[in-house]
Amino acid sequence: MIKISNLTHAYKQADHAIVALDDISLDIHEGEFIVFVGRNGSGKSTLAKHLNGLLTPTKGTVEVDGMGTHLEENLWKVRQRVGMIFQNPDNQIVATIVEEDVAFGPENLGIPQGEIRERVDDALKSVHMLEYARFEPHLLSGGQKQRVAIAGVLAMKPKYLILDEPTSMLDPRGKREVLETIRKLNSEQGVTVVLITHSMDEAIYADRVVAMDCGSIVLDAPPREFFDETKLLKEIGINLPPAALLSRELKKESYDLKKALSIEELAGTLCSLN
Amino acid sequence: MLIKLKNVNFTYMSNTPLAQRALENVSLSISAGEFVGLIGPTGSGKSTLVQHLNGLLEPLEGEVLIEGKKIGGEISPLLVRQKIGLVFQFPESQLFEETVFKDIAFGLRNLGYPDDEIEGRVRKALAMVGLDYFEFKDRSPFTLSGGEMRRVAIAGVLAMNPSCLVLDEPTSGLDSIGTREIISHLERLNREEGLTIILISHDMDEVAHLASRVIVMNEGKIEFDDSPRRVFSQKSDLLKIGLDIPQFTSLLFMLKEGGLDVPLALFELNEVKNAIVSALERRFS
Repeated sequence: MIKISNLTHAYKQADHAIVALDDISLDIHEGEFIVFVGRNGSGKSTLAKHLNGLLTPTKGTVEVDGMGTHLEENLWKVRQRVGMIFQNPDNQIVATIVEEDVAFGPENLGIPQGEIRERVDDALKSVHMLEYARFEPHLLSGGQKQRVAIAGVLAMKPKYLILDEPTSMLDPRGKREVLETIRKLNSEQGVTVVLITHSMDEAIYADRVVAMDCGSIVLDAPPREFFDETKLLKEIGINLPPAALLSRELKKESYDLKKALSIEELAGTLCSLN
Repeated sequence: MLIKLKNVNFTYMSNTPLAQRALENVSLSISAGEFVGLIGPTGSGKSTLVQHLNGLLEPLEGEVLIEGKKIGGEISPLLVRQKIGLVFQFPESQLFEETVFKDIAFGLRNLGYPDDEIEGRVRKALAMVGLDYFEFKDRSPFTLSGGEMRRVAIAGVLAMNPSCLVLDEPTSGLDSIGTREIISHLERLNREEGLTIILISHDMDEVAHLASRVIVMNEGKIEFDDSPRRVFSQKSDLLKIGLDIPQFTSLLFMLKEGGLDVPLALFELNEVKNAIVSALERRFS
């Protein structure tokens, strides 16, 4: 479990401090798929950087499986357990061959050669990139590069995977590939996933959606309940997923629909009306 | 004709073993006042294409004409760059001055405009992106929100008074409020100021909503060039090349397969709702 207790983070400026996170408490349980949403500057990315000790608390604590990130001696272990993926895949690939890039992490951990081979193959297999093992990364599409970056993190065998807007620079196919990969890692391999996104159609697949605003958590609920809070969501600048928006409009026309979150769900409901 | 490409071919690192074909026999015309959506998978040639529009890249074969004049021959790349304003991805990363005013004025100063004209143009450019001159001119660009920073960067290009604005993923990474701000200003600039806009985007909903013409690129070639309704009816072709169709259009395809008699290529909430309501009424009557 990642346990966040009364976490406050202030960025120091020349003459004052900006509070990016204000007294946040939250538990992330093993196996969960949590999505964080909120406008630019709401504190999502700052929070993400606390989950593996890239930032350390100004006040409060973050504990990964009981290890506090404020203690220097814990950071090495914390970062093995909590892998991070960022927006731009080009900034996250260091080697000139895909499999060498994926091997970079485990090599640094001092894992024996034979096991590295196994981990690299497993990691590439789970993101469906094994056939590209000998490719040069620059020949890959954006979605493929992002999946290689995810494989590089998986090869460290993390329990927790934190992804900060991993699809925002990708084309439609890249988005689909990366999102499917993330969902499978969670459902089939039990990796705990924390996904930060502006795209509400990615949020509907989560176990829990957490909305942040001005450094605080303002809503934390399963998607169905989360998107019921239309008034609050409007105040904090969060759109409804298109299917939810449309099903609300159709309800106004007095069609008796149960609320749909995905397009597939709404299509199913509408076709079975009688 | 504002922009005309005739049989343009371009290859990166041509005459080397690393040569990579990026544009293959591309021809197209864009008239003043159009709003064109340019879509295509990563590596399909979109960015290469738009860099030809203002002389950043020169075609290996073929020619690019701006207002009938050939870039490099009859019109200098410097003048072309004032006429065709290019806003790159994450343009806010190119802000660097101490104040919003200085940042927007930078290009104009380099061109030697007098102070009073610079002030007038900066004012107008800020107004065009919906930012108040007195509120923003003395602020540091780095204290602005993501959406505001991006609008300042766009204002820097608008200050050059271009006839055409080319934007590469102008809303990527912005929240819904920042996205809406940018989109509404682009709509208004096109409709009210008659500014020609070419928008590169991976967001099919955004393109369907904004553009009156959609150009689809794939492997360096133009695959489709038609109205949004016609282009986004090509579901299987678009999916095959790694693109998508707008979400409501996907829904309509599913409803049709499920036996509801709905039109396919609709994008806006209200028109989709109305189409579904009347299809349901027909079914139940």
